[in-house]
Amino acid sequence: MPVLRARRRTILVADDEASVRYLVVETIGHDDYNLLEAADGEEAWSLIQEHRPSLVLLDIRMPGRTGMEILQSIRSEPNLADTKVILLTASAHQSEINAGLVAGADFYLTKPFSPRDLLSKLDEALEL
Amino acid sequence: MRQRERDLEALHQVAVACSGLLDPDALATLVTEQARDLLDGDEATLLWWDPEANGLRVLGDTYVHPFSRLVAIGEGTAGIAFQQGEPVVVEDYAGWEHAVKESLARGLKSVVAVPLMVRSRAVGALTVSFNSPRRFEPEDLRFLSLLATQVAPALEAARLHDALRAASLAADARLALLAALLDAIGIAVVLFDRELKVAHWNKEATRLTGIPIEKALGSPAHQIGETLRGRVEDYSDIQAHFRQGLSPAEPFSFPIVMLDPHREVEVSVSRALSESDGSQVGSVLVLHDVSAEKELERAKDELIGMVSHELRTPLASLVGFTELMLERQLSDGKRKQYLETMLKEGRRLTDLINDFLDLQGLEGGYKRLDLGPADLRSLVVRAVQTAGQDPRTPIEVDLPTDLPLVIADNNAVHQVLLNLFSNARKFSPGGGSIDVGATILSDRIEVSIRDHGLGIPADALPKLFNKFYRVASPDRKQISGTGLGLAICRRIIEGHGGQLRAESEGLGHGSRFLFTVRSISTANISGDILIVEDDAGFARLLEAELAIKGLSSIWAPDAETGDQLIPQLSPRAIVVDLLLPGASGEEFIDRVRSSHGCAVPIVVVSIKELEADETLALRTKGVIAILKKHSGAAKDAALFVDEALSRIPRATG
Repeated sequence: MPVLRARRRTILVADDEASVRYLVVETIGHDDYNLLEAADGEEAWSLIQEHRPSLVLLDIRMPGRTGMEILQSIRSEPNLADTKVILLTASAHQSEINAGLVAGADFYLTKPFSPRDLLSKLDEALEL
Repeated sequence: MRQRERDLEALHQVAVACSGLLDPDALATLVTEQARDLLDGDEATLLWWDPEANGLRVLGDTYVHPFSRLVAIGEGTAGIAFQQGEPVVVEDYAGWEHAVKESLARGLKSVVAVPLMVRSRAVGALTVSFNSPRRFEPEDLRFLSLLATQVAPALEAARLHDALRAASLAADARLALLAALLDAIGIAVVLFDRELKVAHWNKEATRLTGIPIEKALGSPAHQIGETLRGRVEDYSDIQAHFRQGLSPAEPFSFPIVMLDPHREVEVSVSRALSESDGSQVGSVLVLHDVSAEKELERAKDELIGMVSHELRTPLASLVGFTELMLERQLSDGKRKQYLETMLKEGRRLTDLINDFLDLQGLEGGYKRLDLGPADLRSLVVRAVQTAGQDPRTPIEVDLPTDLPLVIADNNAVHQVLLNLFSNARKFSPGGGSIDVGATILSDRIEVSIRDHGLGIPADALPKLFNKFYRVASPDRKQISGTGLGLAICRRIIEGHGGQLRAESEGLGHGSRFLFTVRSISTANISGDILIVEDDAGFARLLEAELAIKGLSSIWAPDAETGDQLIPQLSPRAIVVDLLLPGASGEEFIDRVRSSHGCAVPIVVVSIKELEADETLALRTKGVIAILKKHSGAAKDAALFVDEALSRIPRATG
């Protein structure tokens, strides 16, 4: 069992809304992944550096460092080249999403999103 | 022969004068005088064809009382001479078939008229008249014709010169008007001439581009373009327009962004075409500063973006958890947790929509404030009661005892106080008292709400009242809200003519919110009838009905305000509601009779259902009428008040 545990991949959920984090955590579940939570940009960045998660679910608008800034930091860090990013956005503007994709996000989800969609994007991102 | 020499000399004089004189009036006077003298006549008249009136107008004559009306073509000697282009000689005017009445009345006996010809076209006529019968020699006619030949071109030139001068004056005036107009429209307008050099540059063009008019006038278009280099974003994009784009076949426009100060400008270019032959005589460049419109558009977009963001977040929980519950087998415990989250987020969505509509109402002016005298102390006390007590964050009120009345909308100020109390609690996770105080200033009162909570970082203070602004600080991650409360509070206080501001010595030092409301001295309040009614709409209706009866009134939104008003106001009657936000109507009536010792008639208007004993109690306290609140109740109340007052002689002195 410990061997298996070590292989479990880590996913970080960064969103300032506790209810959204809760929804994501409940959707993904703790069984298959190590789930980490961050409620703002600073916390997200330090967890990313420390745990180098396979996937980051990143809310674009967060107080402090925004999701976009975190995304740019991830993409300019060679150590994090394999990190997949799914953007979570509540924006009404496609331009914000486009900017996110240009900056190197792999996928995006618009709030409200379907948990099923979240899981399929997650599988796709992790190439399962 | 001597006579002839003299005549020739006269002709010569006229010719010389004609070559230099350009004033048609002076020329006409000279010509008529010479013509009269040459023929030894009594009077002479020079007439000129006026094409607009199609008649002959007297240009000059020797009469003391000139012939002022227009002479028709073919009328009299002048009219016929002009029409036929031949001299007309009448030796016996009275016997002439075409004699003109007015001329007969002047005592005209003989007359000779010659046409004035320019390039074999008649342009006028010259007549010499005699008050005694006269026989004409061929020589007379020849001299007169000679004179006419000399003078006609000179007169024509003088008249043309005059007309030209008038036209150029008019053109100058039109240009000045046009320039003033172009300066006044507040849009930059630049006119380029045929060679694409600046022919006109209005004030706004200078303001927008910083190029002074002296520098701009006469500059070629490409040079104007070059001057803008460095002051315009992405100059290379627009360079071509200034180089060769100013003679477009079709009008076109392009945007430019001016730097320092930042201005967004829409440039429109069109050709100016000649009216006569359609050829291009220049170009018109209009620079429209659209910064304000763009700013408004951006603010609107940003607001829509923020609202969308705020609405989608709680929706994410509602939709997400619903789907999970439908698709997964969940334990009862989980189901309950999910439902609780959904309920919380659903409520948040409701709050958000309410707050947003509230704010829109205040900003759009749909939500009117019902301002009137109000007792601040009871407002604060009631807000504290509504907020409820929490032993960890007790609200402690310490107000000056002599607080004057304020001008306020009770409900709106109640909302502000509740919001500030709620914020103070939310941002004091570690507890601590919330202290409410007030300072009496010259014409207003400043209310302060102080907490001992998280405090506000200095850089957040200026943004605190912006819509959806949340302080980004890890210590308040768990604290939720719509982000609209303070924006609403500020709107409400500003609607009262007051100010709302925040102070904090930084994180960990708590914060203080202060707002001002205008105070009013009871000495400045007057009215016949005191209305104590918390429903502003009904109070206004009552006021209107009482005004019809010739009675002025003053509105108190609660009993406490009424208490403060009575001693100063000494109302002649009182209309009171029973269900009031603070003390009840019954309590108020008791105080009116006991503490205030006031015996005036009282009318009760209320929706409250009264038991027989309650009605009796009111009656014994001298209530003259108890009315059920309905649409006609205001009218009935006014009727009762008026009726009661008519039975009481009005106090005099």
